[in-house]
Amino acid sequence: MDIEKLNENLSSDDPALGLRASLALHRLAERVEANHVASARGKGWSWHQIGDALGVTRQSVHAKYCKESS
Amino acid sequence: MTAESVVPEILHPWAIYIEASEEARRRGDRRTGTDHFLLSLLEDSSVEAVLGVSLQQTRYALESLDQEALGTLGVGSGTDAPLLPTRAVPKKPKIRDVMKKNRLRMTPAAKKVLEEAVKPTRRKTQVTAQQVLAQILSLQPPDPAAALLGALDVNVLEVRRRLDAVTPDS
Repeated sequence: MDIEKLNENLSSDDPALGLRASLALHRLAERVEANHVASARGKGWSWHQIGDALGVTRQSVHAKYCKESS
Repeated sequence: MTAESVVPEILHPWAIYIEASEEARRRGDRRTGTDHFLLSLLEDSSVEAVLGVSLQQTRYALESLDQEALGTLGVGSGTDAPLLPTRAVPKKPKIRDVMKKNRLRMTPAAKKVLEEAVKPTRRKTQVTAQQVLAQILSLQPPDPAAALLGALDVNVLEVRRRLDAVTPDS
């Protein structure tokens, strides 16, 4: 997407819609992350590799996702 | 769907919180909000009957609101990621279930809903889904649950009347 178009869209004058969009973006990011962590684990990635890819420690990524399927 | 007079099931507030917290986690949220409380209440078919909407319709409406909001940013459909898998929720939760490290905390509005719902009961460890619903119905937009009820075209006054008919004592 073109950055100018995104900036234009970000300046919506309805705060209710803008704030909901901000939360929706966060939800989307969380889901993308969780689904790809699950996919990486399925492909044999270690928690260390996933942590490196996400820029966090293996402990924090493990704590967040290790019981995802339990 | 009809709202018949049934004896409301007595629940522990933790049970409602944990169910709502799982809804929040499933959607990718950071906090458990009033909209998640509404979704968790809809697990009870008598609440579905009182509200006149199903759990599936409500989940769909919530996703549509998100899609609409993302659309304003130019992040269109097709970028939507699947919901996270559901985890089992204990029927009678223990303190260790509530205190789990990855349990999502409540938003201030959600906390207030639960606190107000248990207020009329002598034992603060007992609440009914109908009492929590009555508190949710008093919320105003831009609260997420109020916005969701608005998106579902739920007539709050009519629901209150049905709720009073189902639980005359509350």
